Amino acid sequence: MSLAIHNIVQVAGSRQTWKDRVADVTRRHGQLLPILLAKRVLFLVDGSLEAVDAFTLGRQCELDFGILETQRLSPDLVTLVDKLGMARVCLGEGFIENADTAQERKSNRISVMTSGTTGLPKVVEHSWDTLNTLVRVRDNRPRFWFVPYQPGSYAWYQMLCLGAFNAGQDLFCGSSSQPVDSFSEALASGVTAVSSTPTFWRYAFLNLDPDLIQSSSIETISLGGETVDQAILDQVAATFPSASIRHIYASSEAGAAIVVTDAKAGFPVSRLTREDGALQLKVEDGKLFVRSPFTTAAAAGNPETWVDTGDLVEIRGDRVFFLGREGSSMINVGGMKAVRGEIEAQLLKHANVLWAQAYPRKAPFVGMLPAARIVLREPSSDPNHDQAELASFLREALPEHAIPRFWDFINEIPLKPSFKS
Amino acid sequence: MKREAVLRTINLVLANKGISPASDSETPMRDAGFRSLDFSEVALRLEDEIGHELNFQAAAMRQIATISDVIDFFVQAAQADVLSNP
Repeated sequence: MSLAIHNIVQVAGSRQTWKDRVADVTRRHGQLLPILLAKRVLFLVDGSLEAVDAFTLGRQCELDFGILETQRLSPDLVTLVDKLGMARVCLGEGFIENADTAQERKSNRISVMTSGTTGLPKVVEHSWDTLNTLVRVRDNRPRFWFVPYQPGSYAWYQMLCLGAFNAGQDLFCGSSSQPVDSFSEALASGVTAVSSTPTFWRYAFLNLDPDLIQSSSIETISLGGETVDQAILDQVAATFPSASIRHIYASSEAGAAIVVTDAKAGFPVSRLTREDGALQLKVEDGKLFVRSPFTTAAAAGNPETWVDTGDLVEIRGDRVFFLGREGSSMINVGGMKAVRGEIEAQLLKHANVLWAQAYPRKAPFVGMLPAARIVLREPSSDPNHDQAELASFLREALPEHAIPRFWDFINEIPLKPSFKS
Repeated sequence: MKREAVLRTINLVLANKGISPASDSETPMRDAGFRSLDFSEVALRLEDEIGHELNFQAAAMRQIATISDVIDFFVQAAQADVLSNP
């Protein structure tokens, strides 16, 4: 797998080909190479530019490495990283910690941090082969991608690999801490493709000048990272009527597994019985399992292993829908189950709802009651009116126990660096 | 906690369901459109108001049939709370 050396990477005002970036990075950090080449390392980075530098060095020198934003380094994570035997490397400051106790370098290993949405991030091991999932993409028209993902996340590596190994795929690496400024800059720079989450788009629609969005050159949009609902697919399609829109199911452990291009939420049930190369899917106990060359099991040399995604799915007619994560997607209301993802998906169908999050509240007698946090496009002057309107709307689609009892109307979409809700 | 305050909360819960307000009367809960989940919601709203959890007597719940009974139940729970947390 060789670098597409003429592809361009634009990040934090620096616009270079991979060829120039490799020369630049190895020149600037060459003094660290004796240790980097010998040990398992974790690059601690501040911002996208340092992250791209670390990726470039990691690929060019075939390092055994991971990347983490410095701001995510909690004491618990330091303990985990030390336990894994990773030396901590600060490229900006030019120093390395814990090199003496770090593991010896292992070839073709990239350590990916999960987003840690439900607690301490996990470190999962990939190889260049399992990260380069977009090698399967047959449509190789030149594109200039806006990549707003958090540096070091699985989605970020996927996009970096797309730009690094596939000719004609240039990248604009945005800042996950300043998504609006970063996206505006990317649009002004002429990006033609965007890969991001539904939450990112909802945030952009709320905060960006609509004229700037509509006058952009965007031709391709990939959605993923969290459940993609019909409302956001419809809104993106209406905003970019001539764009090619797809949504991708991928996770840091299962890899990229499903690409959907028919503009509908979920995926066709026929996908469960069709083999896509060596990639197979199955549903067991309401959960999705993946067997493919892109899983962490494959990276460990076991491509035949079925990986439990932990994502709950439901088959309705000829479609498979995602319900949320195992263990956190159900609200037990006096023994009756309310599905958070289902409540959110229904709320998002309401024309005045821009963003919705359902969550449980501990309640006497029944255990839990559903509650909802909402961003409205146009709030009325009376929250009780908005609440009654949304509850009435939901009653047409959901059972009584799934109707939120408590409503929190907020003005801004709470955006995490992972752009997931 | 006053009966009026409990009734106000009951009627807030009913209004959110699009149901007409109830009165402090012998109207059966079911006829007033007040269901078990509403009961739980009223309890949680009252706890939110007080700022901590209440101890509810399960035995007393079995006697509840009317809107007045519901109000009695919560007023008594609040009184017991005041006695145990003076």
